[in-house]
Amino acid sequence: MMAHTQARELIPLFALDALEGRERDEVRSHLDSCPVCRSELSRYMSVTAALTPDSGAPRQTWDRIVASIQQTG
Amino acid sequence: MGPGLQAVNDGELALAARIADRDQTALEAVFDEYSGAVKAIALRVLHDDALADDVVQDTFVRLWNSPEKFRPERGSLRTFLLTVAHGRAVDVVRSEVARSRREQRPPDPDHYDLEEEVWSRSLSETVRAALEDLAPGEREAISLAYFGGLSYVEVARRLGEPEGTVKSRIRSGMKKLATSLAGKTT
Repeated sequence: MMAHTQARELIPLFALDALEGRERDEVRSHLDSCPVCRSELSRYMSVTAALTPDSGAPRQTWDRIVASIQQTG
Repeated sequence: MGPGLQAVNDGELALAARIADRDQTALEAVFDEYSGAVKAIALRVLHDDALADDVVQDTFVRLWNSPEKFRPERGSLRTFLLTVAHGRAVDVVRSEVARSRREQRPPDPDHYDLEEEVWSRSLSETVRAALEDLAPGEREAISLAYFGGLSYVEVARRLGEPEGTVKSRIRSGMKKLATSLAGKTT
């Protein structure tokens, strides 16, 4: 099991989806049991969201979404 | 958390509750507000309009099917949707076919979107100022990971730098951004 300090150091990379394989799985598993690291992750996810600009809604995709959710009920 | 963010999250929680009650107009309201950003991140990672539209669809269908996954105490609805969309886009870009195609392309270390974003008017002044404060190596590593959908191991390979160096740059850059943007974004 990954130690708290080690997992915490990887949270910024996890927030960027920059981890793979066992490292990613171990951080994910640590997050399930660590509220401190979950809070840290929320902080970094706000950062990545801030880097994404807003733009116009792709309205053409809405019809596909409606069709999909009506199909699945 | 200030009262403003709490109020926003209460509103978003109500929207999520309406979605859980199968209120399609609530989903449409969320779509109208955030699908532009969702499409933007998918397109930046995938560079393919049709694949990006698939990610937009998957993201909103997932919210419809599992609205309880959105936890307002962990961040805004916009952040939640962008996190889902980025994860989906990265899954696509790291799929075996995409990976082998990408590895055949010559590396392009001079192109990284955050350099453009610093000068772009599409981001707020606060975010642009925070980006300007990063060292170029930090901006480059974060950008290749986030907008390129690369793992830090792939970023290191792409730049010809040790993995530990790239890891440190991403970590220090993200810490700086988190400090600069604390309380200024949702």
